[in-house]
Amino acid sequence: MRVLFSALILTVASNCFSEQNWQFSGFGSIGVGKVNRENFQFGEADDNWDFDNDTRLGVQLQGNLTEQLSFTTQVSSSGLALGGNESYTPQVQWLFLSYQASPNLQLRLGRVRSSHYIYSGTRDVGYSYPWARPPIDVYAYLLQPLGNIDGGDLLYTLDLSDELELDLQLFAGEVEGEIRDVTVDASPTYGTSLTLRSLNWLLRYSFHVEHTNISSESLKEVESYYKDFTALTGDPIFEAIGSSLSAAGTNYQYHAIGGQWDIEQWGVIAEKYWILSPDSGFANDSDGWYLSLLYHFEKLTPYGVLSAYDNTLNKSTLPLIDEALANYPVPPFTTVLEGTRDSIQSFKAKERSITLGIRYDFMPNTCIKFEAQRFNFLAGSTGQGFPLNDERAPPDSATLFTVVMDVVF
Amino acid sequence: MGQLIRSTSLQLIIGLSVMLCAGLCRADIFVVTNQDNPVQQLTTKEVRKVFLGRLHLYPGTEHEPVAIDQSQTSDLYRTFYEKIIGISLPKLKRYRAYYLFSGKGKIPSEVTSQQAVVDAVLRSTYAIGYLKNPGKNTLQQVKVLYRSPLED
Repeated sequence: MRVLFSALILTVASNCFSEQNWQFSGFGSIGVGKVNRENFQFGEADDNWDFDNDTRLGVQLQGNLTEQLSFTTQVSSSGLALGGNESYTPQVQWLFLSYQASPNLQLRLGRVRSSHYIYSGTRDVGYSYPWARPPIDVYAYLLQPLGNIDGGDLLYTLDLSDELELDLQLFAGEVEGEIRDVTVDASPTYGTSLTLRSLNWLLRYSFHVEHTNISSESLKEVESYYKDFTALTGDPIFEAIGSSLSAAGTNYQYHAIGGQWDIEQWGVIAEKYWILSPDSGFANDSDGWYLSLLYHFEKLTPYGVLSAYDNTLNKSTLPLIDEALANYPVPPFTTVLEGTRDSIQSFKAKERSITLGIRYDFMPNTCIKFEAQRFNFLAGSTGQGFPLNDERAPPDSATLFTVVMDVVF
Repeated sequence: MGQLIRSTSLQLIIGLSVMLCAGLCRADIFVVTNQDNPVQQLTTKEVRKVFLGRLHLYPGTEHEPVAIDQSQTSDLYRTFYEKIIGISLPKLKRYRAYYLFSGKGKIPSEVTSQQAVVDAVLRSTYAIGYLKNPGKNTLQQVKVLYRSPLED
């Protein structure tokens, strides 16, 4: 991929002075957020008003190298640090060459945003959507570090009638990212998205297959314990548990459907995703949905969102751990088994939420949003929130308040 | 009898004036390009796609349209997008942010006056802009790709 990026930069460098047709643009959001629970965190938001959760800045440069060949790059910096990055570390989100082969066919090569959902491409651009942030029950924190694909795609638009178009995207490449201390390398990743659109509505389906390697330094150490236990006892249950802590070349399927409909002043946006994992081994079963209703006054857009999220890691491994604990109820077995169970259960998340908010477009290219999102946590989990103090009983609900101002320039 | 004739004549004059004004005062929007552009005309759908950034090459050519917008604060900007393109301005703003930053292409550059649109079209072969009731001299300098009457 470094070779590809070098080639892109060299291509641009050799052409950048031959054309004047460049467009520089940018976006930014400054937001404050607060959770109404002590010792509890959503993203970067806790019980103190804090800027990091929804504050972002991005710049974009686009230009034509020839009439059919163009270059695009976008770099953004976000206070929300997911994966292995620090807050506000600049990230290259887009870096690609685009070739317009015909009026309806475009090829892009380089780094592109993944196309899982309607707002995947502009997740950082608050001005482009009505809410403070895309609903996290679909745009889940857990999967956000896997938002870029290094590779390429093909975009084809089919004119079906005067009012109707079908956008077809085929893509392939590789995805790398970190989720907590877990490294994910999905190579190859490939899939498609289909969007049927008219001026006032769209329907969308996307399908990704990710051939995934998952590993973690801390889990590797735990895996070595299970190898020792297997050697010591000869019991295959330890091998089964140990092998579920990493994945090598496992295929995960990501599906998403979505729709958007504007009628007069009303708007409806809804999306649902689900991940299909293998029945055994390292498996992350996840699904989520949201339904949002909006009403556009001239400058005010009140909105509401209903949403749900459910994530289960290695559900077939937990019964094995319980069985092993029953059969080997002594240290060091119990120490390792209980630690593994806690680690797996920390990924368990089940939540339902209701969001109410209002967007006010008070200046050209600038808006402010006020939002409150109420979460109910189910199945003994804390949803996508994290208790900061393990000694206290985790809350069964929480509310996240946000005020954010978005601008594009 | 004389009063009846005067009254009828007055009604006739008013009627003719209204008809004449309907012809002369009618507001039309012209979508124009450089005379060297080989494209001869565009359909409503093609005009819509150009200004929403979804027409990447002129039909039958290998040339990219360079779209020029009137000032966002002008009445013509609002009229053009609401009546011709069929999109409200708040929705257009969100669409533009979505389109621009999702790597799909560029958005029209904005100029501050009708004359600035004409100047941009005269400078660039593949520039395309929209004008309201341009004068005869202007129409002789540019090529009209699309024309639509407006109901003010």
